[in-house]
Amino acid sequence: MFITGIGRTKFGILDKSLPEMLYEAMLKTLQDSPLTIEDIDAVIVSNFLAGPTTGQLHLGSLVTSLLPGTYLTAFRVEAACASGGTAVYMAGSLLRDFENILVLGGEKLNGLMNKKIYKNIAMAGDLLRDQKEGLIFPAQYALIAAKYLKKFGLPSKELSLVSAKNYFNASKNPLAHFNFRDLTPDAICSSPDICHPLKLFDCCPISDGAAGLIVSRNRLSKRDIEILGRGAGTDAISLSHRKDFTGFCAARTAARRAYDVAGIEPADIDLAEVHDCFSIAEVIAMEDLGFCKKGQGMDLIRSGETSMSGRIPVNTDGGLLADGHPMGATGIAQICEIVTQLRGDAGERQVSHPEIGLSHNVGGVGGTAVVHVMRRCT
Amino acid sequence: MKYCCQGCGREWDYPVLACVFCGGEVSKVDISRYVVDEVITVNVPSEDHPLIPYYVLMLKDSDGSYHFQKTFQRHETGDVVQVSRSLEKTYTIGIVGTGITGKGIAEVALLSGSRIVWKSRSRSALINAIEALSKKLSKRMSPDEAEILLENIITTTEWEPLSESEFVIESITEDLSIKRETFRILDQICSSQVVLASNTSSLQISRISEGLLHPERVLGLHFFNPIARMQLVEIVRGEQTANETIDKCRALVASLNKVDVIVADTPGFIVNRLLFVMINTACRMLDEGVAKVEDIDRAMKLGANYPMGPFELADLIGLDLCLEIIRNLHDSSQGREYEASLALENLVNSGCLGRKSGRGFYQYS
Repeated sequence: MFITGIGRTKFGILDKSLPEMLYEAMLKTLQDSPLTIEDIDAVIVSNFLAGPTTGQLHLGSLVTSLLPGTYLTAFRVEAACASGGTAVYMAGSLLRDFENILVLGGEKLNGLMNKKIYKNIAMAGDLLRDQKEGLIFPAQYALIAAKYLKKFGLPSKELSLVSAKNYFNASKNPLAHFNFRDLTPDAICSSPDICHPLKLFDCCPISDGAAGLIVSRNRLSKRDIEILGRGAGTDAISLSHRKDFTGFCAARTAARRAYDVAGIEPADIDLAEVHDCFSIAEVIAMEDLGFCKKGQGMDLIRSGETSMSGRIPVNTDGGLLADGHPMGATGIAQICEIVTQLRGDAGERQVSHPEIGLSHNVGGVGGTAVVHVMRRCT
Repeated sequence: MKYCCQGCGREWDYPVLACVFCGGEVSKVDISRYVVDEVITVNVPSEDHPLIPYYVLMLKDSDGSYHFQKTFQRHETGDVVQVSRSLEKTYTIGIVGTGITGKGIAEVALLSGSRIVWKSRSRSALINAIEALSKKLSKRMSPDEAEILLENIITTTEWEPLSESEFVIESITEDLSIKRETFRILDQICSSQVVLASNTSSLQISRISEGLLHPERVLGLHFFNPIARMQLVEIVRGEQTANETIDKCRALVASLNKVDVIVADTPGFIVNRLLFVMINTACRMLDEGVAKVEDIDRAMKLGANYPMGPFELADLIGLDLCLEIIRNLHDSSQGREYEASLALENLVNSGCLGRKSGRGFYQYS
């Protein structure tokens, strides 16, 4: 299966509605691809919170209303922050029925009361076990961070290296939410406490935005990128149902499946987009994806191996931390970045000659994980 | 509480029919002992958790399973917690009275994990109160869980059992001589460490505690109806109330997941003093023909961003109670703003008491 077109909006605080953003992502995706709208056989829409936040559901039909007279097959997929990756995964599985599937994801959250948004994001956790007890999203990852730092004897200021790297990368991405070129680790460490040990800049922003891509059964052009392998895994929704708080079994499972299908090993990956909703999440992703051993994620980041010019650049677009995190779009945008890099179209942030890239999209606090491995076609 | 498979030991939060892995029988396991495994401080307010900072504790039970628990009180990793529902310091709270306020206090106290000693003059009033409470609790939890909570209540028609409490909250009729008699008895049977609180809205604490052996442990604890939903508690400091008594009550209020304000022993405290100027003035505007009921309510809602207009609120409170409070405020302050309006007096005289009677400023069907 091949990715034959990509497109996305800017991420950030946008003065556009969800349908407007989805339309923009769709238009850009089609403009990027050799296909026209008539070639699209089905649409999968990815979104997390339009229902509880804006009162809009039935997004498959909503997208079809942007395509008057088409009567397309259209589904909506929801897996919290992993909605995008899950939608791409399902598109791959539906290629038996359809030849070209448009995957569109988006989220519109800004412009509403923040307290309501935080409550809604917490819906990714268990209603009784997590939400009722006030375990909002940063609190979940603060727990992971506290456990991780304690287990491996690391000072919490180390985490700032993750945000500093990703903010720097975002400064080379014109579509990113943030463009703070000079955000130093010291500035990150002195930002307000959100949930100890996580500071403001350890947390991704709440972004609006949309992204799209086309998954096709057949290769259509030289620019197409092949999906070599993919895997999806899930785990209990509440951390309180787990035993390991320093990694995600769902992500390890998804990665193993993707590597097996692709017939490769972690060492073969040239660059990766990982789900850094909080700085600690990128550290454990390094380990869950097998880029290093357990407890060495921070070493990888500290040594610069995951920087733009390092051995395995991670989150060249700025990641969720700085590119932004419009939940429904995120997993799709990650794949768009890998495609852009593998095509050699990444401009100022282009990594030198990557062959194989990986995307890692996580929902909730490791409740869902989707991994895609992609290869440049020769 | 959790549900465990007898065969393979897997656990669920729900009473599942049988284990889907081994077919084993699943039975309920009560957990009473937790160890605090991690403490997370939350500095971000969200819609359901607006008060910050608060703490989320990760607790480990004796089987090694984890649970989360929100609390406003600091705990350290390694603390052992013995209660089944809540981790706040749990109190034994005496409640005198089974009216709306008494029931409301009992509800929030039970939900916070406290034990209750509930006193009323009549056995039947207690039985009715427990039944009403059971109905309220069953909307929030399973019948099993509600039953466990209700086991934390001791009911009594005698005074003596109240002496086991750390706090006794009086919530009986607003009559100074009856309240004074109640506090005289409580003062005699409760050790000086027990805090005695009155839920009075209009009487002076210093008058209630006059002549007691230990007036320093007496204060006002003014809850607002519906208590389960209203966050505020006014802590009223009498002339002789000790700082220690105030501190104890602040901890109690926090454990009930409420927010306190401290106010001097003055007529109407904060809320009623301001609120009833508005309600009474609104009524007098009717007397003067300034505007219609609906328009005055609409004006305050849309022009001052009040969630309810003065007449909607008065109907909810009950017009007889409103009139009583306004008269009390007038008696104690002689302020012209508390001269009761004709419109209000006429409604009360004709039996239109607000929502509870089906008719007040508005008609309720």
